[in-house]
Amino acid sequence: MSTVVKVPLRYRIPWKKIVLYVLAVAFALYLVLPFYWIVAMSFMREVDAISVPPHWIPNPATLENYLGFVNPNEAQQLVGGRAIDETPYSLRNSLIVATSTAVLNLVLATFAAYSFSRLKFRGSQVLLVLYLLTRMVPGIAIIIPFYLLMRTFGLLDTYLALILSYTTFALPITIWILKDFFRSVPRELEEAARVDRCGWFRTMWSVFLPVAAPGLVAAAVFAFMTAWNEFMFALFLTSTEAAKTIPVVAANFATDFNTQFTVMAAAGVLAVVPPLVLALLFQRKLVQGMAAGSVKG
Amino acid sequence: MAEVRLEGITKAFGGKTVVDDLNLTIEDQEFLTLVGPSGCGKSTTLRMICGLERPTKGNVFFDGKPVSWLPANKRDVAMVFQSYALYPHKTVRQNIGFALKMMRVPKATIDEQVLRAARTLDIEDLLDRKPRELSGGQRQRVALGRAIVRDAGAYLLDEPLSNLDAQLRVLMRAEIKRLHVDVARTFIYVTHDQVEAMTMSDRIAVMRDGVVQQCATPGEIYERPANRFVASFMGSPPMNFVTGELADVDGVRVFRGGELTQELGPYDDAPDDPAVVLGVRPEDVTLSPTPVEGYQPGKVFVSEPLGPDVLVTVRIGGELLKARVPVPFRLGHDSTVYAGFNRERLHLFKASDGTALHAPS
Repeated sequence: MSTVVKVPLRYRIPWKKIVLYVLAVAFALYLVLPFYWIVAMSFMREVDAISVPPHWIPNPATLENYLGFVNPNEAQQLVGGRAIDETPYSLRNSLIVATSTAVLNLVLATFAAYSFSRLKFRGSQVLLVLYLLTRMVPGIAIIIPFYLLMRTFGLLDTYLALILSYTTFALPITIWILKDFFRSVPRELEEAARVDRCGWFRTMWSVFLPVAAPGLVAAAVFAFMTAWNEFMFALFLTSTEAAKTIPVVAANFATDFNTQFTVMAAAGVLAVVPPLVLALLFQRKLVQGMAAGSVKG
Repeated sequence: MAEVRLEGITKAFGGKTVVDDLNLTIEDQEFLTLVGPSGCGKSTTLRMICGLERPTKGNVFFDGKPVSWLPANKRDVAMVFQSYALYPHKTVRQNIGFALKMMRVPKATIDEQVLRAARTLDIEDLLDRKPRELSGGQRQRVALGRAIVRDAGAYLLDEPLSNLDAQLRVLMRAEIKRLHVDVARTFIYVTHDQVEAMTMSDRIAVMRDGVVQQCATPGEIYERPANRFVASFMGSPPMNFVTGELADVDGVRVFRGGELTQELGPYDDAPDDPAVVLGVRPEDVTLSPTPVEGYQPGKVFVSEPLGPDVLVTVRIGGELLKARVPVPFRLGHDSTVYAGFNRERLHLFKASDGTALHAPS
């Protein structure tokens, strides 16, 4: 007769898991906390925002920092160089410049990336590397030529100056993103469209571009964010509320004399809203499988 | 309705000739299959007929009119792609109706024709789904639907069943054959599966290295293969080959190869070179457990039951020959067995270039 020996299971502490979780949470906090602090501060009174120890939750919560952009009180009017007055205009400017950059960039990059992904031509690899090389040059090195160029063409302090500049920054990377994306679109889809009586343009419009939509959205979001965040060129090329963008105006909130953190935080939150809305709107497109189900898996 | 004629078609990619001086006429309403191993140029040939590739040399004619320079969208063809190539962002209904929409057919007519095609293929209930929500078999049907909804002159099918499981493939094979009867159009079908070619086609063109080896009816291809390649490619399990030479023994022509000696019937061509290859299909080999006159002794190497019959591999001297014999077959491994060949159905090929030496029919 055999006897069953019961061996008590020793509980082992999953150290590896614990360490991983702790690191993951720490990293998440590192990413989220600054943003939370800005949002929380934008609803605080100045006196609460700078108190020690800090108030983590706005109490009392107030909207006066936001209302200041419409109807500033006396204290708010003192904020660095009319920054508070310029915020609504700069938001509008940023939106126009970033959207235009995204659209222009997308149109140009789509044609270029399609050529690189589908056509074989001499020097294509060299050209691609050359495009990327232009991004290796630091912005500060080319800002003066850009400034002179824009001045010569009478484009200083205009949207066009920013749109053209930002397009030159975003285009090489966008072409690279799209080129790889387009290569992953099955060629048979275009061929099927040709057999289904589509000419080239119709094939592009009705089949290729819709299938490549997630890539196009990713490229557009990238270009939008590049334009939205850019500071140095905007600082050099714009000077009035006709074209100043939000990063330039946001920098004006801090002066030698006075810095109103809560108003600055509110401006920061406002600056985050458009890209956030964009990301939420297109997130499904960004993550969905591109050509799922079209060809054998 | 279209007769498709290929005249001296050659296609080279970067100096490598993929299709070489191909001449072929596909009759109106015919079901022709291009069959051959991977890389033999069959898909390239189909793509040149479709207009997705331009021939390096030669011409494609539809009903006598040259079309080599017309792009695919200007030719009157419909195609089923090996990978299906369904539009992932469109529903099944939109996929099937897309070509008609491009041809500016009125919407009501499109709806009607899409429904009819869907009914034929039994996919009516899938019309509002996207391709990613379909199984492999369903996608394959949609791909077929996209072709049959068209009133095209020729239907081109590029290995449409290669991604399906064995059971579904048998089912769809019959359905495509029936579809050909129903739509009464020219079908050009590409496959590497000789069973598909044999079962579906009016004629088969067997290709190798860009050259058509033989174009004939399935029966003729099987019974009178033009060369050793065709003989080996068509038929499953494949034909047995024994290398040897011809000799005259008392006025009777005899094949001798290894330990095998086989009397032969009359042959048209008397080759200058006696070196030949004897070909015998497994179903033309008879096995006996006891000695029979004219049978060759051998040993059972392995037996594989196939259901209605058994595939027995017999070792005769240094050669392994396959025999397809009816059940029951009770001899075990290494048992002595006697193999006889059906003299009327033996094939002879020149050893030098594999050309068939045909018996008079």
